[in-house]
This record gives sequence, C-alpha cells and structure tokens, in this order.
Amino acid sequence: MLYDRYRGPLLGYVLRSVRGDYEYAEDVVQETMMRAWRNSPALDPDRAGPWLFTVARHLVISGHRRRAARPAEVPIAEREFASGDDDIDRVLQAWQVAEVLRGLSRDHRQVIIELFYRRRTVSETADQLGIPIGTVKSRSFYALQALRAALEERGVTGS
Amino acid sequence: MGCLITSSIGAYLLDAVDPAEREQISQHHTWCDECRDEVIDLAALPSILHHVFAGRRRTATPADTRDDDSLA
Repeated sequence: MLYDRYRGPLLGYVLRSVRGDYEYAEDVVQETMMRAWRNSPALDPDRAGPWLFTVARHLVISGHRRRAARPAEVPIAEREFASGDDDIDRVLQAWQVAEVLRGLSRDHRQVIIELFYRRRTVSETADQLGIPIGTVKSRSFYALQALRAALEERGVTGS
Repeated sequence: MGCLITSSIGAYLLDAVDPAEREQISQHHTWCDECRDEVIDLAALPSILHHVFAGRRRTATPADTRDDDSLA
C-alpha cells in the first residue's frame, strides 16, 4: 500500500521542515496522500517516491492549510526547508517557476495560464484563445511535458 | 502514441475537465500503462505551478494575471 510505505518517510521529511509540528506534518502527509490517490488510484508504489516528496514539499512551502489556531507559527523560509532523504537538491523559488514558464513557447504558456491560473475550463479556454477544444487538450499535455523538461534541465524535479 | 486518452491528461492534471471526464480519465489510467506513466511523470507539476502565486496571494484572479506582465 502506498500509504503504509510512504507515510513514515514523508512524515519524517515534513516534520524536519515544520520544526516538529506533528499535527501540521500529519495534515500535510494526509493531503499529499489524498492527492496521490485522487490523481492515480493505481499509482505504482515503486515510482511514487520522488513526486510524493515533491508534492509534500510544495504543500509546506505554500503554507497549505496553516492552522489559524497557532498564531505563533512563523512562515517557513524556503532556505530553511530541510533537503532530507529525497533526491531533490534545490528549493524551488516562485521566481524560478515564473522564469521557467516565461521560457516556454507562447502557446504552451497560454494554455497553462488559462487552465491553471485563471481556472478556465477546456471549452472556455478554447473560446478565449480561438482554438478547438481538442487543441486545448493536446496543447496542455505538451505544455506540461515541456514544463517538466525545463524543470529537469534546472535540476529541480529530482527524478 | 497509441492511446487516445493521453492527450487529455494535461487538462486533467490542471483540473480543467468536468467531473464526468475526470472520473473517466481517473479510471482509465488504472489500467492503461501509457497514461499512468504520463500521469506519474506530470502529477507533481500543479503543486509547482501553484507556487508561483503562493508567496504573494492566496489565489490569482483573472485581473491579477492579466495585469501581470511577467507572465504575459
């Protein structure tokens, strides 16, 4: 089971980065697992490690579900994020992601912005960009592949 | 590329497909090796994309991104 295998390592990894806040670390691990399950019910446990850690790390960096009941918590500076046992060496800064996005082709960047950042549906995006729905879909697929390749080039995907 | 569903995976991972299609694709890649491999490869990206705005504001609005020359 994915959960059994990765819960311990993920928890340890996140705990180091949230200064031992166990409840918050558990939240992050739960959310990571939920996303794993939601995205891929049959995710191969042998291959899941790198991206599970990536998802967990980004949940922490983005302050996912920070508990309002704990005002004493300070935002985690990215440089304080422990690199731990995972393969990812660099901490990804927001400006670096923006830079990678700018480096994509205009077609690829457009569909990512419309679908992801502006939260438009496929058909809304098709209308907005004046292209067929099928093109929006295939273009978004290639856009993500291009994004991944660009991130790999910068050494940030850790796979 | 052999599977016709594969080209929908981008929209699926970016959460831009309707619930029915989402369910279809979600079930599909439990048995389709090609699609499952692609999902595994790309699934971490939405979290990384979210990070562009995480430090500045909780969610980006269309007006915000329209005026954001850095991403235009």
